[in-house]
Amino acid sequence: MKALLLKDFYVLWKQMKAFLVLILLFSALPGSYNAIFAVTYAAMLPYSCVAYDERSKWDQLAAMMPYSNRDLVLSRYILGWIAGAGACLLSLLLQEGFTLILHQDVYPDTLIASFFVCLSTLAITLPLIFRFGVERGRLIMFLIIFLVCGSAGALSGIADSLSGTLPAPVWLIVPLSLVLTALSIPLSLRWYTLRRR
Amino acid sequence: MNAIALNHICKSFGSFAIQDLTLEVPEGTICGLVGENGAGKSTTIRLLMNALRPDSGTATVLGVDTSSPEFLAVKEDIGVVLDEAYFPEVLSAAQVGKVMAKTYRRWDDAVYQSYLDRFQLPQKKAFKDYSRGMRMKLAIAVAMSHAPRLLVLDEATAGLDPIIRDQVLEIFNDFTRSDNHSILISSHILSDLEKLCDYIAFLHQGRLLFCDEKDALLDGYGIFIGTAEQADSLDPDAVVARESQGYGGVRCLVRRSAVPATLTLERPTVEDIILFLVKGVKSV
Amino acid sequence: MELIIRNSTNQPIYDQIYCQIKAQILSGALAPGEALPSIRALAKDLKISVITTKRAYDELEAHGFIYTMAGKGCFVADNNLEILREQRRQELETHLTAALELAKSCGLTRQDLKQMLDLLSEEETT
Repeated sequence: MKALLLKDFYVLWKQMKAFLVLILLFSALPGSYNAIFAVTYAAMLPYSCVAYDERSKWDQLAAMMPYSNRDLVLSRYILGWIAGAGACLLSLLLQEGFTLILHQDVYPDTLIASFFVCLSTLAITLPLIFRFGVERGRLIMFLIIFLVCGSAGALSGIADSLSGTLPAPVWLIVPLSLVLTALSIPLSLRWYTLRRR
Repeated sequence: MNAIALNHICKSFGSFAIQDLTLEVPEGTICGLVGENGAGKSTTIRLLMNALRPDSGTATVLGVDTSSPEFLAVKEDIGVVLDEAYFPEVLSAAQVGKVMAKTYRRWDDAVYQSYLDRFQLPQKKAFKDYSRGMRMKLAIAVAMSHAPRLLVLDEATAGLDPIIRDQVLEIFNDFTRSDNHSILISSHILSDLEKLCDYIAFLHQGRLLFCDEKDALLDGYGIFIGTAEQADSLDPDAVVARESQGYGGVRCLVRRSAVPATLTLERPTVEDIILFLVKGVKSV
Repeated sequence: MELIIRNSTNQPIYDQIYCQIKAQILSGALAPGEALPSIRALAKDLKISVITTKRAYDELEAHGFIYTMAGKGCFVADNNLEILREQRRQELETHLTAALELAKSCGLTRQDLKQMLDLLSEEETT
């Protein structure tokens, strides 16, 4: 598991520097939309890794190494969670910093909510990626981008119109995302195992 | 004990099928897997590593059923080199080493570094800038650096220049100095296999045509060269396959045991035998 | 111990090993009790098949030239060198008897045969 995460880290670090800078930029930009976008955008990192793995057929080689299917599947989720949480934390720190300098409004609630949106996006789309792969799943990529942009836009719309305080129903995203994740992991594992048959 | 035992394995995908494959590689020996492209070599390797599940039949590797949960731990003991399946392209040799150190419990970084030196592989260069030969060398370095007992090599000498190929064959030869070390190697460079192997297994269109001891194969067959009339006078049961050489000349692959010992025969290479057998199969 | 393996001849590799080691034992170049390289080491050094090497050793053992001590390796047999030489002598006798009969069948005298033998051995020494 550690090995797989380390590999993904190297891949992201080398190839995704632009991507990471983008996240940094979005987190730093004032305004809630950008911060939320950064967090949900971070949920896309696992897909970049999947794409890189597929290009060099790493999955075939990984099947020969002592990795369990569980590790191979779970590492994608964990990477997404770490990326989402990392972006969330980063945004929070930067926004706090701006508040001190610029006396700007900061909405920690919306950032936390956006982390759970990120969880849900991962839970919905990862099983599809395990079923079809990135190469064959172009449509899924569109779904992912749509989910990312849509939810980020919706969340920031709500947040801005209510000046930072989210209405209670939005917090339903917390149990929803947890339930989705709990269902998603076994499904991914099942579909991943099926694909290797 | 057998290092690898495949027992009546069947696996079909669409038009291609592995049919009733039974193959044993005794511990301490090197088995060469030969076959045309698409004969089923890579599929066989994926089946025995449990990367594919057979439709029927069983596979046992290093004494453990590959479909059992215990097989995951056995993979620690198996060094694998695949044809055209690599590490993610942006990784460097140094990074591959760090990832593998967390992958294999018995990873030995000193051994890995010594192979990188020996193969003159750069530490920092990204994998995508490697030549095919360098990719192979890195994969071999990884396979050798976690104290394996079995090497499974799919076209591991492809893309290497003759001098490096010789060096690599020497490494594989030395690997089997221990009597519990075994190798299964597929290649279409038959001269490599002839140098290295104890057994030759020949796959043709998803079927195993034979798996024989190499020297028994080379000693058991001979090549008769003569005129068509001379060839006609040979016992038909002794002639496995024949081909016309033009201008009246004929070459035949014959079984030595079925012809008089006085008959002058040339010693075949593994390549001769395989080529003749493929032709023989096609003419049937 | 000296072994020269040729791939070009029609003599099987195991037989080349068998004959060469046997010759060296009979000539005394390999002394009784001397250790032979292990099957695996010999195979890997000569870059030949382990199975072929094992077959040559099995053959040598079956004919009493070497013996195996479990876990220690293979050694040149010591006590039966005389018997082996005696066997060769008997072999020679059969060949000579056959030669005599052959000579008789084509009307050669014993004198002719002796001359032939002298000629042959002269050829060999020169």
